[in-house]
Amino acid sequence: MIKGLKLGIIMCLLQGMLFSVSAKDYYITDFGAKADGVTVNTRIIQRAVDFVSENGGGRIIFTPGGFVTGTFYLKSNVTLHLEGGASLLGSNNPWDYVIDPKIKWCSMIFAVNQTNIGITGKGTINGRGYVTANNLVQYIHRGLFKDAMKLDRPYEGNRPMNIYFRECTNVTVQDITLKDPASWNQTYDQCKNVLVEREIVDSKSYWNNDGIDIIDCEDVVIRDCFIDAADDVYCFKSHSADHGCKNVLLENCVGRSSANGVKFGTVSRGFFKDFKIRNITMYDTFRSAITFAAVDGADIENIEVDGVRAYNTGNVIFLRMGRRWDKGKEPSMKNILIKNVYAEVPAGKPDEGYSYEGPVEDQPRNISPASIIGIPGYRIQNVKMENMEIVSCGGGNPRYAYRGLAPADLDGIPEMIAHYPEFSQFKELPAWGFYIRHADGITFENVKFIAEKEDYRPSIVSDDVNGLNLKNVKFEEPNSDKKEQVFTYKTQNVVIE
Amino acid sequence: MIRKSLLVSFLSLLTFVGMLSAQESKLYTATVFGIHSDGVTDNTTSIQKAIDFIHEKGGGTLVFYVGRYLTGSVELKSNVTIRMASGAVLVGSPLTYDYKGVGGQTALIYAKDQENIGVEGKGVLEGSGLAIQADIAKQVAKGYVKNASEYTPTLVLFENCRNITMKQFTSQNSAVTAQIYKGCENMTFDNIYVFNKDPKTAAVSFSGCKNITAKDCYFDTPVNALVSDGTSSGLSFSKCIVPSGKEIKVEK
Repeated sequence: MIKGLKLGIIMCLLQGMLFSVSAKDYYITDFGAKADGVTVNTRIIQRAVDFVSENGGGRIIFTPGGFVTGTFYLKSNVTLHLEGGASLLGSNNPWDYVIDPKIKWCSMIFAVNQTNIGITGKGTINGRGYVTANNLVQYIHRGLFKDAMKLDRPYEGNRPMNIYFRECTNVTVQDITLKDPASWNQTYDQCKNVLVEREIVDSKSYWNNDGIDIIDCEDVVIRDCFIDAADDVYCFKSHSADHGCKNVLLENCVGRSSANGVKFGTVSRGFFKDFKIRNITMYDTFRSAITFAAVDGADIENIEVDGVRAYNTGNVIFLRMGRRWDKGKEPSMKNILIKNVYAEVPAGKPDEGYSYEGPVEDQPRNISPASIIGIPGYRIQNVKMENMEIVSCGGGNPRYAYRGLAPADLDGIPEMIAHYPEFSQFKELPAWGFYIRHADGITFENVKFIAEKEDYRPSIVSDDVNGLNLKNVKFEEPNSDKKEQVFTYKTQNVVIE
Repeated sequence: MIRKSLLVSFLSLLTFVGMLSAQESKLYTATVFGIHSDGVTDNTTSIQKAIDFIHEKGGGTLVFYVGRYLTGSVELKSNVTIRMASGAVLVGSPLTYDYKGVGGQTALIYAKDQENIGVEGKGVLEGSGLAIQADIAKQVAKGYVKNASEYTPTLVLFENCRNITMKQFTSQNSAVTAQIYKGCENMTFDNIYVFNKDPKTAAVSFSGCKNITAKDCYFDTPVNALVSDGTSSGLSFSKCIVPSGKEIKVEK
């Protein structure tokens, strides 16, 4: 037994040595690249990638300095290694970027259909997207580039993101810092076996600056990352009805966001299955710390969230189904466990002072509850909330915005089936803690809701729910000794222990 | 009523005149496309964008005013003329991988299967010949480049193009023969000046070309100015001289 173990270790060592021998290191400066912050190195980097890929693979090492570049394509068996102090700087010239003909999006680093690729090292990829995006705006106004300028900004697919890997296998991204793209930041689309770890992201330079986008990927590990983003932080999407995100581990990650912390969607066509999300901290989130949305036909299933700290977040949890772009594919959401959560919801705007902070809403709305909101005929099934403490500012004032508990009030909450999913879309909801609608099998166990100020609403309201179990659920609210904190409507099989 | 119809006809006349002048040669200045004259900014993709845009809009002239415009290879397309105004220098990049081309030859400006193209003006095409040769030599030494000649750029390379006008400008310091023409037809060279000292290269090369008219040109090169392999026809050279004052003689 011990012998076998020893042999195994030796084999591992040997393999490691073999690997390090076959994977050669190349210095990008040897290909003529200049780290002067001025020279555009696009064609040199492309040549280096091609050469290394064609000659058995290896690492291309970027030594300290600023290497300006436009679009290039990473290829099989090549790892870009950015040493500490080395930066890949996005060119500010929009013409230095390519919109991939297949993907129809723009990026500094593309990889399409490649295997064993990576970006490692303590260096930085800085898209410098603010200037690039604004330069593009000038070209659009001069008539040199076609763009509808919806919302008076170029379409996000026409602005370069930092990384877009599509249909790649064995992707490793480690230790790098990613900064300031002109669009989304890093996208992994239909990739398999993706590892993103120890990454720092500072992404607040222009509209749609996401943190990380995982689209239709399988076998994904994201861990030990810190992401500060103007748009969604840890964002999982499904662009294809035939694909989805499956077998994903997200752990030990921190996020700050002017949108959502962890989000499934918005584009949610295929599926999101078998997720483990552990030990995450989200703060300054304008929208929800956690949003799971199936609005374009997605199936969401077997999701476990264990360990969430959410501070200064506009909303804690938002589970939502809808029918927006599903073309007949029917959505589903079931088997979701969320446990060990501590959250604080403030009265003010959580992302105040952010660059590109979230849009001010058309008011009025008192503070919104966490919510599980299905639609008629498509119910959210089997959701358990365990060991939670949600501290809300409370203070809902009926003279500012009012949603009562009479049938007309509750039935009057719009379904908004085809709308963009957002926790605030319904305006005033009738609860300050949790609102549940069109759902089956909802359990709360060891959950404490705290309102810092008196609120005119109860804590929990359910509407059209079959199976509502409340075990050891406690409420704290000033001056509310006799207040009923749970209100059920059209709800069957209620168990309160 | 009469006044109205008069107005209409006056307006349509204006429009017609406007169209006429637009068709003659529409001018586009470089800065419109974000091209910079600082000698440092890499303008490759911006110049390419300009050429593509003018080509797609039916043609015109891309004008570079005084300044140094650093660039790698650009591909010239039908109905586009590059005008280097007095004091304008198109500076070839000193980096090996900044060049592309056709048929195994790279070039600062190249074109294939295009028509109505040219370069004009009192400015300069600068080949940065010694610098680019040195960079290529380094790449050869590292083993990243096997055949240096595949990477060594000329200034102008046109293959299988028609109706070419090259007028007035200077081309200098090319790493190989300054201008190379293969299988082209109807070409006019007027008042062009080729200056090559380092590296030691020729001025102009023709192969398989038809109907070439050259006049008032000055070729200051350390080797034979003209390279012609005898496969071209319809060559007419007048007052094209080398520093000794000798006129260049060509086959018929």
